[in-house]
This record gives sequence, structure tokens and C-alpha cells, in this order.
Amino acid sequence: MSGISDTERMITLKTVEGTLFDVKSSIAKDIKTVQAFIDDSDDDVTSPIPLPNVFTRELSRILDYLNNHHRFRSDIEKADEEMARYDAEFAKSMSHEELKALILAANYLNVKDLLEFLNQTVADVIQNKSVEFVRNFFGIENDYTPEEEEKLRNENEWAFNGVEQD
Amino acid sequence: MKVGWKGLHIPVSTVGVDVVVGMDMPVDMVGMGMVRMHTTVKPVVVLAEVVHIVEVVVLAEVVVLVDVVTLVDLLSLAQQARISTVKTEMKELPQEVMVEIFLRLPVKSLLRFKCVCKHWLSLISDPNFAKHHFQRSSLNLTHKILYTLHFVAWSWDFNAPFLDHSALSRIHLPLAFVPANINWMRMVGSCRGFLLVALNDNILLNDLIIWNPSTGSCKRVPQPPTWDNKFAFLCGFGYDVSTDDYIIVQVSYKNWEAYLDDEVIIFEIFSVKSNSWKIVDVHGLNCTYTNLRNDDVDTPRVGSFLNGYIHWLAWCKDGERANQGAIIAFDLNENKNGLRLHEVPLPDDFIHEYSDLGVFGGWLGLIEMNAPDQLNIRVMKEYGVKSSWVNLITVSLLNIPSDFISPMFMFLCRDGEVVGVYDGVGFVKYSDRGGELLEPPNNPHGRSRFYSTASVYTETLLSLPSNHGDQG
Repeated sequence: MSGISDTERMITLKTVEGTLFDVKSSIAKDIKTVQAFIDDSDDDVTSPIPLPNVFTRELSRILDYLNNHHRFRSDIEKADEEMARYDAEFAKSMSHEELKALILAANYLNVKDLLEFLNQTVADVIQNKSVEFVRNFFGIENDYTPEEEEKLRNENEWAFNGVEQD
Repeated sequence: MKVGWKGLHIPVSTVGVDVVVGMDMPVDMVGMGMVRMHTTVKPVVVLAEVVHIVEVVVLAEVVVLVDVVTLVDLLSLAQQARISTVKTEMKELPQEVMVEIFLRLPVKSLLRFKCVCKHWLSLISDPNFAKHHFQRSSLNLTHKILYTLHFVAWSWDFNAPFLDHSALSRIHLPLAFVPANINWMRMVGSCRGFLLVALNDNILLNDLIIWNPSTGSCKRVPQPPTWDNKFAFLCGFGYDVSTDDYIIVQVSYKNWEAYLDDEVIIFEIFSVKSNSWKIVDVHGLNCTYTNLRNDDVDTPRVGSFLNGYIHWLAWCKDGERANQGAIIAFDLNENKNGLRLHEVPLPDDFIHEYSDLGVFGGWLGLIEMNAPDQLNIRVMKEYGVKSSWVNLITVSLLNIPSDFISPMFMFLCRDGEVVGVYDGVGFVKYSDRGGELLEPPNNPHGRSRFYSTASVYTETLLSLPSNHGDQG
């Protein structure tokens, strides 16, 4: 897979808002949902592929991530170091809401590496956080009675030791 | 439109609605160019103001027929028009994504997050999830030391910065352990997050409990049938992959006379799945073994579980090699052909005095006291290969800030340093200057000997395969 020739075929993706993105077919390969669409089509896909579940902000982030990772991979020497630095910046640049929106998009588009990275990012964010923080983060309503919750907390008391401030 | 439409999901919120909580609507092809949207969503949608094509009012269940092309246009129109701000209130992440996130969290976080909601409690408590979590994180599971003193237990993450007290948590002992019921306890095995704890009697090992200190689940082991005058000298605890079963092994002489007469040793094993004990016939014993020096009664040696075998450091009792050391390994898998017991080679220059066996960094290792003030750990880098024994670390026991010179147990940290557990005192990290001492905080009894025990364990959510006899 050469990946980066100028003559490479381009694929156009269309977001919910109607924004069009031209994407190299080598990049599109990492977007499994798009690739499946292309594979399912009998002839060459020339018209924009609509992504009615993906917003411009998310698609732009996903393509940014994929383009950079392709670039890093082509330069073996500095790959790991630069990729780690880029990933850290990438994760930091988003609010919690944006992070979740991106997970939904990456999940829908089936971009495996990115989804794994984002899942790890969420895990890192919530790992040492309180139950209240986590409910808030995921928009989950507490469906325990105070007694039920108290009992569970007592049973797992040690797990509440050393929790970070929200 | 192309066939590629199948399976696409159109969120209601993208239809330019001002109230809608992001919510997927399944879209399936009904006929040429027609789309049917089913929904039970409560929000009301009115696009009529924007484009006078569709009028959608959803209260209970609706079917809306829209031309596909129109729908697509509609979506972009609605966006461009931005008549009303689309409220992008976040919907919940799909369950498969949540599970992926859970798999990346340590046990401690997951136990805490059981309190988030009932759905999370059921996901995290699922035994299959526990197995998946254990397998996935096997390389970076948290290893801890469980330390008890006067029936008060602490769990210590010994890879955390040494004097960080938040790495040291009090742990509830199960009800069966409370001092009113017992007068003595010792940890005699550790495997996949479970500890085997012996209560009350330090020689007979009749009262055993299997306990996961992370989740608190525990099981009392029924008494072995041959308990009467038995003299147990080795015990161990491990897991047999082939049967997905936890196994306890006790090696004993029928009684004291049998020991003095060099009679055959008895291997008894307990299977958690069958919840019963049985005697196994171990062929191929070249000699008989003991853990005794000069016939002094000693507590049974605790085996080290590695690679499907339980290993003990023992003495050969009779024959040509009498009084020589040996590592014996017992195969937990009973279905394999071949000998269930074999010896693992010791290094040539091994001196049996004051040594012990353990697992260090995934290798079988020996702790040896080479000089009165010096301990040495060496490991067998290639399992079963005599020439692969190498020195791992040597620590000086000078200037240890403890009442005792030598530790009860030693554990290897991830950074290659070593910590020791001192009877009745606490933990010591060895350094050039001698060592730093970490004592459990709020220790109600102060320093005292004889009532402490320690073992390393891994944090897991695993539960035992059978539910028989489980308690609190």
C-alpha cells in the first residue's frame, strides 16, 4: 500500500450539515463504515457518500486524526514519540461533550484505532473520579434508593479511598 | 438512491428540531424511495415552519413517510436554515462502547462505579465481564499486598509511590473472620485475585476460606475427610485452565508416626467446582519430602502457583539425597498423561538454610539469606532450565527501621525495587541507606508480633465457579 501518491483516488463524504470532505481512499480504508459502503456498491462511487449521523465537527476531527497517524506511520523513526505527543494534544483539545460526540461518530463510522484511543481517554478521565462525576459525565440518572446506594458503598468501601476532587 | 442506505441511522436532532434529545430513529427501506421512521420518542417535531413538506408530530408512535431524497435535502436544509438551535444534549453511549471503556478501568474504579446506576451494577457484576476484564488486563493488573494485624486488614498497592498513604486502604474481613470466631489466621495461597486463608489452626489446616479481597466474596471450604491426626506440611492454591477450576492442594503424612517411619506422603486436593476433597495418587516419587529441619514442627510451607503448577521448596527426607533441597512441582491438570509431580532444578550453589520460594516478576524465584545482613533474590528466567538461574537483586538488611532484621515476605515492585513485610510492623522499601518504613495508619494495636500475615494478590472481579457454600 503506497498510500500517498497524488494520483490516489479521492472519495467525497458528506456530513449532516452538508459539508463535503474529500478523502484519500487509503484514509477511507480506516473508516470501515465508509469502506463497507464502497465495497457494497456495484460501480465506482463518484457522488458524495452521505453520513447522516456524523456532524462536520466530528468528521473533521476524525480525518485530522487519521491523516496525522498516516503521516506518522510513514516516518518510522519518530513515529511513536510524535504520535504520542499528537494523541495527548488531540485528547486535551476536547471538552467532555465533544469527546463523547466523537466517540459516537467513531463508533458509527467504525474507526477502530481512534475508538480504542478515545475509550482509553475516557477511562483515564474517569478512573479516579467520584460516582457523582461519572453520572454527570455520562448523563446518567441515579436509580438507586438512598438505602440501596448506601449498602453498595459500604460493601465496596475501600474503592472510595483516594478519589480525586471533581 | 443507492442501496447503501440500509442500516443508516438518522438522529432526530439533525432534523432541525429545537427540543429533541439526540435519539436514533431506525430507518428502513419500505419501498422505492420511501422511508419509514418508527419512533416512540416523546419530543415533538415540527419542521413545517422551515420547509412545508413534512409535518411531523410525535406523541406516541408515529409512522412518517418521507421521500428519501426529500429527507436528505431536508436534513441539510434544516441545518442550513438553523431556525432553531439544535440542542445537542448528549445521549448515552451505546452499551458496547461502555463495556470497552469498563475493560480499560482498574477493579477499584469499577467497584466504585457499581454505585452509578443499576444498569452499570449488572454490567460490572456479570461473571463473563469479570473474566473478560481479567484476560484483557492480565498484563497490567494491579498487584497488591494484603497485610493483616490482629484481624485488621490493609490492602497496599506496593507499586505506588512508597510513602503515599492513599495507596493503603483498610479492607473489610468477611464475617467468618471476625475475632469472636477465630483466634488465628494465615494466608496460605493466592491465585487470580483469590486468597486462601487458613483459620484457627496453623498445623492441621482444617478451616480454610477462599476470599476475593477486592469484591469481598468468599467461600468456606469443607473439611478434608482425613483430618483426624494428619500432619500437613505443604499447602497450595491454584487454577486449572483445562477445567476452569480452582484447586487446593495439601500434602501431609497420615500422622506423626507415619512421618517418623518415612511412610508415603498423601496428596489431597480440593476442587471448588465439585466442592469436595479427594486423595490423588502421585506416581514417580523418587524420595519422600518434608518441610522439617531436624524434626522440628513447623507450619506448612505455602506453594507458589505458576504455569499451572504449584511449587514448593522442600527437603528430601530419605535416600541418597536426604537433607538436600528440592523444588517440587505439582501439576493441577489431572487429564494430562505423565507424572503429576516433578522436580524443578535448583541452582548448584543453592544452600537450603534460610531460603524461601516465590514468584518474582513472573519468574520462579528464591530468596536466600547469604549473610546475616544480606538477602538475595534470584530467578529462573527460563522455566525448568537450570542454567537460567540469575541473580535479580541483593538487598542489605543493615539499618532497617524495624524491630526485626529479616522480613516475613518479600515482593518485587514493577520498578525492580523490593519491599519486605515485617512481622507486626509494616512494609520496608530497601535502599542504599537501609530502608524506609511504611506503617499502616490508625493501627489500633500498635506493633506486635505473631498476629500478622501477608500475601500478594491481584485485583480481579472474578467469582468462584460454583455457588455452593458461598457467604457474605
